[in-house]
Amino acid sequence: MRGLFRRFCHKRSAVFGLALLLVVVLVAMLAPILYPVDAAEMIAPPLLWPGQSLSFPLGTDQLGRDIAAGLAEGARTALLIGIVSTGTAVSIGVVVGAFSGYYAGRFVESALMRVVELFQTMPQFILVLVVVALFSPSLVMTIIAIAAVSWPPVARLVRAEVMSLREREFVQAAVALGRRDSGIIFVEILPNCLAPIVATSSIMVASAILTEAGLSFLGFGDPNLVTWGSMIGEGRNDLRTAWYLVAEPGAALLLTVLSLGLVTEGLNDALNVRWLGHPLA
Amino acid sequence: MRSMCAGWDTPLREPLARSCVAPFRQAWKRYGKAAAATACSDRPAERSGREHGCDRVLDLTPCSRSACTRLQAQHPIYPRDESRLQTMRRNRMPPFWREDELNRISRRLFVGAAAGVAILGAAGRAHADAIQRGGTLAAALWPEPPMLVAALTSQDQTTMLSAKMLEGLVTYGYDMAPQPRLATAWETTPDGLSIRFSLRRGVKWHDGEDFTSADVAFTIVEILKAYHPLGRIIFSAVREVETPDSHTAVLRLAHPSPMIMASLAGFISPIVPKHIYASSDPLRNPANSAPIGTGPFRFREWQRGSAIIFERNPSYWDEGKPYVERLVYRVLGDSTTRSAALDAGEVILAGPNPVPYSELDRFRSNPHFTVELRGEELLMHMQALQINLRHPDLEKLAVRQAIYHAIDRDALIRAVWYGAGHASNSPIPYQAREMHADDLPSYPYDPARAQALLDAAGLSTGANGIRLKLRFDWVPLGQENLLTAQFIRQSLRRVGIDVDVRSFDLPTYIRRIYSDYDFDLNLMNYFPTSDPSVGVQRFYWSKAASRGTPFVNASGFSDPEVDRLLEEAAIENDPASRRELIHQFQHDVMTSLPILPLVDLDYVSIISKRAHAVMLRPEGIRDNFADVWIDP
Repeated sequence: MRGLFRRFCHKRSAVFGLALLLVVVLVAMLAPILYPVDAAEMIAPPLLWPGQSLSFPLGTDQLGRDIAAGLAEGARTALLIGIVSTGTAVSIGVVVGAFSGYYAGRFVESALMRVVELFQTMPQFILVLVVVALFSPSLVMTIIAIAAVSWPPVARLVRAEVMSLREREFVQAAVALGRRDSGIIFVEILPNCLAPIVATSSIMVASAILTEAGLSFLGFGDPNLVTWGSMIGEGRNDLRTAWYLVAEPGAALLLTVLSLGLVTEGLNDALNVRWLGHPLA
Repeated sequence: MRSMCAGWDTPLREPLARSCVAPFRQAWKRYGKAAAATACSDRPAERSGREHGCDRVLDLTPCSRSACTRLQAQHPIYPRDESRLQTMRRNRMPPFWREDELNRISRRLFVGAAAGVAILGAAGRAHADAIQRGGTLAAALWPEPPMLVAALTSQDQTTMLSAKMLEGLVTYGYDMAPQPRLATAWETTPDGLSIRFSLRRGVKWHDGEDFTSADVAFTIVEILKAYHPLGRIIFSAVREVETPDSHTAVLRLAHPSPMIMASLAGFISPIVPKHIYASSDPLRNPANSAPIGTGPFRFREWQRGSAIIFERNPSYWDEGKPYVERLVYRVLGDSTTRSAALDAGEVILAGPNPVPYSELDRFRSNPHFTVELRGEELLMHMQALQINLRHPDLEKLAVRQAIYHAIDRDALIRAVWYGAGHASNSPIPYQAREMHADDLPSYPYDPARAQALLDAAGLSTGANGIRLKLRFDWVPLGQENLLTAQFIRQSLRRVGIDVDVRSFDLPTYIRRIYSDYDFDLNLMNYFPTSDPSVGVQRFYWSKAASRGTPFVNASGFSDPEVDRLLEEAAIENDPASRRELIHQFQHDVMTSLPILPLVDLDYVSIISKRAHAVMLRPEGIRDNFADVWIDP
């Protein structure tokens, strides 16, 4: 583990990404303490520019809502949606991928893979939109919709890993010892393909956050929540007169997704010790 | 020459150098050297001369391709400073205007004129009251309408475009008195049971057929009464239309119906040609997207997703009119784009509410534009909160009063509508003048009173200060409604009403509210129209409630006294007694509060000062534009 962290820290951009991500997480965790009032509460004169008032350092929007509070609240929502939907998607993807990889060539595999293909042939964002529009947009619905479209790539990835690990000696040994299939999959094989799963899931958090922002921007987010996407969508009309309404949540979104991207890259390098060109390999 | 109209939709910020070469090539390919030379000089060459003071350009006759290119090399055309950029934008006319110029003036003269554009412009302004003929009027259009005939739908963009080609029997003055259009005179019998229209003679449809009383009878009975969403209400009293001769139509009514004479404007009740519509299903008639009318403009072309183009009808019955050669409605879906297009002069007219409210002040202070409040008097616009009285708590009057007291409507107007509206206190907006009643019960912003009323209704605050949980739906037409929803959510939360805002797309919204009645509070926008029997009655009349019909009484409100007032007002021919009934109606419904009127909205149109005589009548941008003229 320490070796992993050392390898991770070797890459400066990864450390920067991690620091940035920690800031976002910290803000999200401290939001209820920093801003005890609901971020949707109209507490100030509308359209204060950033810096115009010390109590509202990032300004206020059309309805007089504090943008700083909105960003903090938005960080909570973004991380919540990102982590929960990715967690769900990864769980589904791992199980599906593991079984179809282990039973490659059998009916289970072809059945599961047809389902995966069914999901993969549809444009992801459109599918999310349809799911959310069919039901009333809400936080839970958004998470379900995002999870529903993001598990197939995980399934494919895990399937490939499992298929290659299945032929290794330690798996053969477990088979010879008479372990049950589920024991072999979950105890012997899966822990060994953790590295690519971890690397994929951090970038999936980023794409889930972006998808949610896109939904909210189009007005398909939960209207009772303050999210970065909804802040951008609502500020869009005032782009020419009050550009900061769009720029600030946009920057928050950019930095968060960037930090997740950098962390993913760092994790990928740190976990992938088999790569011969790696400086610490 | 025609090639240039293909280039009119060049992007706004296109580098000028390229905008010269492209049309040159195009014109060369299609129409040969002479046309190409015109296309070239027509575009940025003379502009660059004007901008950079290059004399070489001013005698650019004949222009050759190489000369043109050389010139651009000598004079970098990108403007360096902002003021020059603005001058250029102002002077830069889309080429389709200039095409008309070219048709009229010899080219040499035109190049000279281009050099002295400032002088010409000044001259034009000096003679601002002298009507100018010709030119193309470009206007912004969004969203793209489903069809172009307003006899079958009340969709706003359809009505706006339809009115240029199809006319109504009458038009209106700002006093709401009917004025002649297709009908030259009309007379209602004293018992109010028949209206006789004398029709204009010598009017021809765009395909050359004569306009007769048969068209009027057919339109009213077979089309408007059968298909138009408002027409069903407006003409419900019409038993039959008699046509004693080819230029007289007599409406026989089951009972007096004053709303008919108030609803005959071309954009609400257009007359369509019987010979086109009689033989087939009107909804599938191909003329719906290429209309044949009697109006001052003829349909020319519908470039889907891009523009709808009309051209002058040379045989219009009002001789000499229209003044404008061509109308181009450009589809510009994004409000920020429309704002930029107005700035750049790419469109000179846009409405209603073309730009974000936050930008209105910028246009108000711009001397090149008029921000018009007029032109909405026949429709008017309201934002209101419809309440589902089937809810066990909302059924209590005190709760509805409390909700009304909890909403600061003035703050709402300032924050969401940027001041473009008035706090409403009646279902009939203040713009309706004498129809609007004074001294109605008032419900000022008073959260303390709201709390007290809720306490009195037996809704005490439970844990975390919440007394009541309500669902809140909003009609998904415009960003402002979402912001209003959030505003009201916060306002009600302060008095202990937790509000769960739900968002739906329009079809789902209509199904939930008007078919399933599955809502608690519903934020809606509606047209009250100049006649309350047409636009307002539907939300309060118990007999208007019908599952599946959108934008009617969905509250479950039923009050025999209100029904009586509305029914009597609908058939009362005496204006004073009718006004009395309507006032009493407002008083009643503002006491029982099935709907909370929030804002009397001021919709605006933005019109360049180059366009004149747009707002002669309350039809405004939905009028036929026969009188409109533009500065060259």
